[in-house]
Amino acid sequence: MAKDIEISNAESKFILEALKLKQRLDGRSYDQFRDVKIEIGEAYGDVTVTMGNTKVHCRISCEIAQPYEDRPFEGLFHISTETTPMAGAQFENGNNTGEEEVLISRMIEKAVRRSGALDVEGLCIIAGSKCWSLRADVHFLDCDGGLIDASCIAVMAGLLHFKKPDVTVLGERVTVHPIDEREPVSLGVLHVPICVTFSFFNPDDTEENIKGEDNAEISIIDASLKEELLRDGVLTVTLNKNREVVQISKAGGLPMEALSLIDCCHKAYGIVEKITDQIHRVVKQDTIARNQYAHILSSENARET
Amino acid sequence: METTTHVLGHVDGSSVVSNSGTKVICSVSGPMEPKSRQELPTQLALEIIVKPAEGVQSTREKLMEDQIRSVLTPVLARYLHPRQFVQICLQVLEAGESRDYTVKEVSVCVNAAVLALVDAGVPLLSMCSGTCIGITTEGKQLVVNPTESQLAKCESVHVYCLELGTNENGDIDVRNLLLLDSLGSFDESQLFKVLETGEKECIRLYTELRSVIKDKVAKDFVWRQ
Repeated sequence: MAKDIEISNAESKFILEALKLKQRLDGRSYDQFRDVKIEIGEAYGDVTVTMGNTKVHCRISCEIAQPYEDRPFEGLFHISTETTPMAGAQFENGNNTGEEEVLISRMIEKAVRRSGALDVEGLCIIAGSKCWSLRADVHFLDCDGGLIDASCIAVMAGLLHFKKPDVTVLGERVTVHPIDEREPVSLGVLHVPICVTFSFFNPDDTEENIKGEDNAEISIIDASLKEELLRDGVLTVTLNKNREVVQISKAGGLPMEALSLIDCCHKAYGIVEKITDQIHRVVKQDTIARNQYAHILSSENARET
Repeated sequence: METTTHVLGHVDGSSVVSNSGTKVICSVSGPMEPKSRQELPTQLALEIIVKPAEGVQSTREKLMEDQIRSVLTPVLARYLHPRQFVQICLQVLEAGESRDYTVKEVSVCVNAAVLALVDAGVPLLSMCSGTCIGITTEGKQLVVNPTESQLAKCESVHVYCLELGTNENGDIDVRNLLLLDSLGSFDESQLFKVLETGEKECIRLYTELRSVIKDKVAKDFVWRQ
């Protein structure tokens, strides 16, 4: 039951006028990212990310599969982003062909999988015959804008937190040790890409934007759902803490200058740095909480250096 | 059983219910206008979507959808909303059981759906609650709400849902058996025992759900005082 969300003329005018006065409905400034809350569940790789009213749940799971014939040394990694009407009436059940759905899944795919954030060679068990097939299931629980940014954080936090069961290989025999029998192994995460979405608004008409000199376009970071509905252009940049630009996506919308793109990347870097640290901190805290008896159980002797 | 209601902003009603390792989030939208193929001329149409925690929807989830539908249909006052439609979306966050079983998820889904329906303000004729019971292979002991490890030691597992209400005198009234689905081998006397224990557990859950709703209503309607 997909229904386009409608926004009344009065409300849209109010939001746009407020934006011109540097005001946003939730009291944020133009360049302010919403506070991110990362919660880790009971199982390994179970993460819920909350950004304002946006809520995304990600679950990482793995099973043993056969690698692709042309890539015998690599494991499989799949990200599934299926939408349900739970996130809002604009999403239809079982229909992932809508423009927004396709865009979200492709962006996450590009940011996380194709950027090589996960070391897929580390998923190989026996070259050519057995490997781990890793799956990230992203569930959109509530959508108030910024789904791409939130999902990217959720998937990366999930990957950093997830542990796969340990295996021993003896010739062609593979033994998978259950988690309670042997300490499971973390995944090889090579870098942490974080998406930051910019939304552009044009206070004057389009002609002014193309030909005009004053470049009065408004750019805001992390738009809410209502701002997303009204925006004239969108840009998603994905960066990591090493100051590498993983990808930039701007599919149509307002034309913009090259310099403002660099400016956007600079702004995004500060956010990326903060969120990356937050993810690492949360995962570390959880590891400590899970290992609270480690110091008692450890048989390590104090060593002299 | 831990419950929270009204957790999502873009649907009419929502709830999160967790019980011995199984956690489900439920959203309810409606009554609203259906697509023409879903429309029923005299009654409220129902769409139930169950999404697994890991992987994509399969026949297993379709079976769960069907069982939950059979539980919820008689409880809803469907005649009040002809040609309209309610969408119930259940997302399993933690399954708490292997893919061979559905019992724990179904019982938690039913409880979550009832709470979310109340949160959405969809008219109900009575309440319902669901539980699951296992019978161990060794000792033939009944385990109410088994954990994942207990489930593996069970010879048979049963999911049990009752339609319940409270009559004018304030007594709890068991109105109907809505679902009894069993997996494994068991005999008649064991099944009767399951029915007996299940009823007690369902009534306990019902009182728990009722007190949750009571607190919720007191909180939501604070402006009326």
